[in-house]
Amino acid sequence: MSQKKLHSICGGLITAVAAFWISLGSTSCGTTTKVAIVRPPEIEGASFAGNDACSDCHTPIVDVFPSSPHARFHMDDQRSIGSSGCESCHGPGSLHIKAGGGKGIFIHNPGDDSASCMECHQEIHAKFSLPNHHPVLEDLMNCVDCHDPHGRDMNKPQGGLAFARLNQSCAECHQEQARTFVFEHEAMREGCTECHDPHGSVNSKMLIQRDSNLCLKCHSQIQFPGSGDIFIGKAPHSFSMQAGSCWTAGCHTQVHGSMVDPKMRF
Amino acid sequence: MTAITPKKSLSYISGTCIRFFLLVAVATNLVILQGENDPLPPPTPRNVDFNADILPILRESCFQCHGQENIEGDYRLTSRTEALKEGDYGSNIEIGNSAESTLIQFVAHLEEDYEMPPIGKGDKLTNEEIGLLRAWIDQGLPFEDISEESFYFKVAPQLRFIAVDGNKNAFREHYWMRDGVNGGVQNFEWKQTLEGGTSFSGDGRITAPNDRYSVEAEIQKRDLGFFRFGLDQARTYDDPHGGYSPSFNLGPYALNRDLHLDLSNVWFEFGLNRPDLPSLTVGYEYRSRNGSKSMLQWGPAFDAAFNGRSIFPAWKRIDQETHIITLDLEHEWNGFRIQDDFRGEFYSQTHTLETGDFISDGDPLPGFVSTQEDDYDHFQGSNALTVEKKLKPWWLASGGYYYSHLDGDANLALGNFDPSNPAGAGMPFSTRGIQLSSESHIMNLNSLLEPSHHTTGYAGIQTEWTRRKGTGDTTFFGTPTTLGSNVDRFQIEENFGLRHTGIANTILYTDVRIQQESIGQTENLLLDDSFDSREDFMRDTDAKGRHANVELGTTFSPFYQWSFNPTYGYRRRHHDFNNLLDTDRGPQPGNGFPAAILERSTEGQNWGLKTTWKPVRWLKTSLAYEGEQSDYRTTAGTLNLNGVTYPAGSLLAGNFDSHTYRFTTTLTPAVRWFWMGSASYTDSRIVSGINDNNTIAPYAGDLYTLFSSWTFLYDESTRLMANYTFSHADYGQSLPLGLPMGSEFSQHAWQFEVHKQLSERDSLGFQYAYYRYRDDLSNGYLDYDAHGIFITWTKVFQ
Repeated sequence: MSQKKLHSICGGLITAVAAFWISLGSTSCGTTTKVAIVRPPEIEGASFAGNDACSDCHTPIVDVFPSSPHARFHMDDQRSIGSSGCESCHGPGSLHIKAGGGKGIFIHNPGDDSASCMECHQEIHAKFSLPNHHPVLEDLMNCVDCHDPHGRDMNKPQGGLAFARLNQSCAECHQEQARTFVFEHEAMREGCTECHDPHGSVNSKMLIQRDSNLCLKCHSQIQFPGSGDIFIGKAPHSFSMQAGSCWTAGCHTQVHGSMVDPKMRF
Repeated sequence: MTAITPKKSLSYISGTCIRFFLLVAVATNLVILQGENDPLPPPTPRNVDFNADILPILRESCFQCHGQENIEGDYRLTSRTEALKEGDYGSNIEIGNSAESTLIQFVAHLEEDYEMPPIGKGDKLTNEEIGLLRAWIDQGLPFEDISEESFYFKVAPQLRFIAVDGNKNAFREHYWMRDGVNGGVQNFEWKQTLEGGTSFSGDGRITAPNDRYSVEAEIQKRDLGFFRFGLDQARTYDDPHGGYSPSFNLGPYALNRDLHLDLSNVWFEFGLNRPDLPSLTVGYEYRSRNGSKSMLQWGPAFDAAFNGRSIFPAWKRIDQETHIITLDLEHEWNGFRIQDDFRGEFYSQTHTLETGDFISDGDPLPGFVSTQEDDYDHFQGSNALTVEKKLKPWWLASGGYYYSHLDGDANLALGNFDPSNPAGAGMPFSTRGIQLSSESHIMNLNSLLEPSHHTTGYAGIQTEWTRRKGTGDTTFFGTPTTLGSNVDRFQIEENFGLRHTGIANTILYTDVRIQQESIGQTENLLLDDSFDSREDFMRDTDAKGRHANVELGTTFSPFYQWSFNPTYGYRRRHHDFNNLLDTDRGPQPGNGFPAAILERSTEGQNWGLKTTWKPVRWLKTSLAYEGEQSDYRTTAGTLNLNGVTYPAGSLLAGNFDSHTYRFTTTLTPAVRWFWMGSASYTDSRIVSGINDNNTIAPYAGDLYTLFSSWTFLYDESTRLMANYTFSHADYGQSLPLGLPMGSEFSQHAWQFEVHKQLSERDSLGFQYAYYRYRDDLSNGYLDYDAHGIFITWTKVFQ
């Protein structure tokens, strides 16, 4: 590269950066009005008060918070104030305290708007943007429908140090799949997330895999050498596996359980 | 008369002066010292005006805890009568004697631990403010009525127009909204307080037609209780297409139906929250799901050469109703927080699955449609009792007991019909009178310990016993049949965790969950009670499970600009099966899959590292990597099928691994600028133990996602915003014989918005959105381009 060309590139870059900063200056400093972007969970005009101040009114929640997975990021010092603990999700609390508290009074509630959850959980935001997802970004659901952000167990409804019961959150809406069957699919004992990604997936019905690999990771078995057929259980499956996934081919259609058939065909 | 010499005279004068000045000095000092020792600012030396001088102080510094809504220390300052009442700490005001009034001593911070407002909850009153309060008390505590009335109402009508070029059903399914012209109220909010402490509030949204109706309202009376009411309806959409088989040039087929499901619930609850009584809440909720949805259980379609693939779409009619009653009690007694929640649920459903069968190439209708009608209802009652107490300042203990009982019954009917003559549908095969029951007892004990400022630990144990039964004396394909199952499951779960912040700028944490499980399971299916049919079988299996899940990591910030979050997780689930009985009389190969398995285990690890760099206030970037790997293993016993012996042994039934890389930047170079971008790439792959190239290939591929958001404040009333979301999946599969089931698409969404604040109470928003979707595996059938315009006007009444 010639020295002249290098100089022209450097000059262009410097000019571009200068123009960028001048444009910023002209829009931020060159006016008399003081306006700023306020994004959740920021609260305009409020300052941070610390977890202890929240504890005066929200005692049960603050008491159990140290056991929460969210407390993994909470350092109780001045340097971390606002970036972890209550106010990292709910916003600075000084005005809320001054107003005597109250739902939505100078405070952000991620239970109504999941924006502050997505500030950190960007990998979940990406999943909610896939074609198959639960409608959180569409504001038809929110994170606390399935998660407890304060307690010990993230996967249970609100409350304390106790643990979630299996599939408890999913069963609240998906009763058809989580109900009692005469012949249950034993995978239900492992939990719904054994087959589904509840945030979002590239696959229909939020399946973690779309084809028979989903089933075969548990149902594969040693094949008889040279038999020429693929056995699952006591039945040959070579032909039926060509027709699609285990349930798509119209065979094991009752994947969550069946009232009459131990093979879950109907 | 004694003569006074000049020397004596001078001496006398000077001595007298000195004594005088000494006296003055002492007196002055006494006054000064007395002033220095009086810790209270003097009362303001004028008549105070309640509305001008006192009420602003009360509103700013007192009412948040001693106002109409909150009553700390059983003391209010909302009227003269209330102010003169005794609170938890006795009388707070002595009229005419402000110096002895505890209220003044508290606000002047003379009583340690009783500073008002409490430290951290408000600024200390200035000397001038304390002087005004002293004068107010000394002048007889003049009071005037404080108005409690307030009113706030915000409404945001919205008009929406969306035009879709391509597959409208796919657009509706992906974005949960309908195309065309829609309108309604994006949201509304209402708050009103009346004299006497009664308040109303509500919010909601209405998008017509059909998308979303939602209203919630609350009426609350101070010191008495509340009534809440809610109504919500949302619609979900499903694309009615089936699969596509490029090698046979079949499909995709589509049902000529608009598949959608209306999800509704109506609820109300009322509660008593008198300060001296347990808090009581009684509620009722009605939920329904009504409509239809697509299924992945597709029917076979055949080309001209009679090569078939299961790609013809299926759908299910849904009709569900749930009635729920709840009764919740909460009370604090001697430091114990006691909570009891009862829930009774009546659930019923009638679902019909319809699958087209034998579709010939070029034929608009399937040869026949298979139907499954699934009727089910149950009542489930459950009660959860929890008790929590802070035994020591550093020890929080809790325990709970949960009981649940379910009784239900089910019917299943199978049939088919000719789609050209739906009236001829019949259900020749049915199973009636299946009885179901389930019972659970769950108990737990938990402790949270904070032995030092830097260390927190918790431990808990939970036991769960569940018995589930299903029985039926019924008919199966017209044959009298007995069927049944019984599952007893007992599980113990232990939890431990530790957080430590004792190392500078570092958090260390670990969480451990261990489970032991014991299962006894019997199943039987006897056609005609003779145990000689192909479907007959009996099974008795005991299983033992041992599971563990460990997570550990740290947040480490050695420099102000940098932080690092390495994480590691390990999980293992292992079951041993003891098959006591696995017998059937049908011709080989027979029934009973699970009884072939002796052991099954899943073992996996995940690890990650997130690095965050914030070199300046306006720039924050992070780079993250997450890896995951799982092995699935099964061990089977010897099987004899059709005279062939299958050897016993272990198998790696499946292996999964994935790697995700994510880069995120937040840029706020000026208070008016905000830009955020997040890009990720995931590479995942699962390979099963049966890796047959003809019928099933590894499910492997790449996923790219990008999200970018930009906001700019043009001036104090105009805001510009732009968002872009992108995802691309490449899980294409190529199989010579099997049906490709992959996923390969590109999805884009652009949104641009201008928001203008027209006045203090009016604003207008205009948004344009463009959506684009391309699906490479559907032969273009699912593709669409969509344009949307959203106009929202927000009006505040106050």
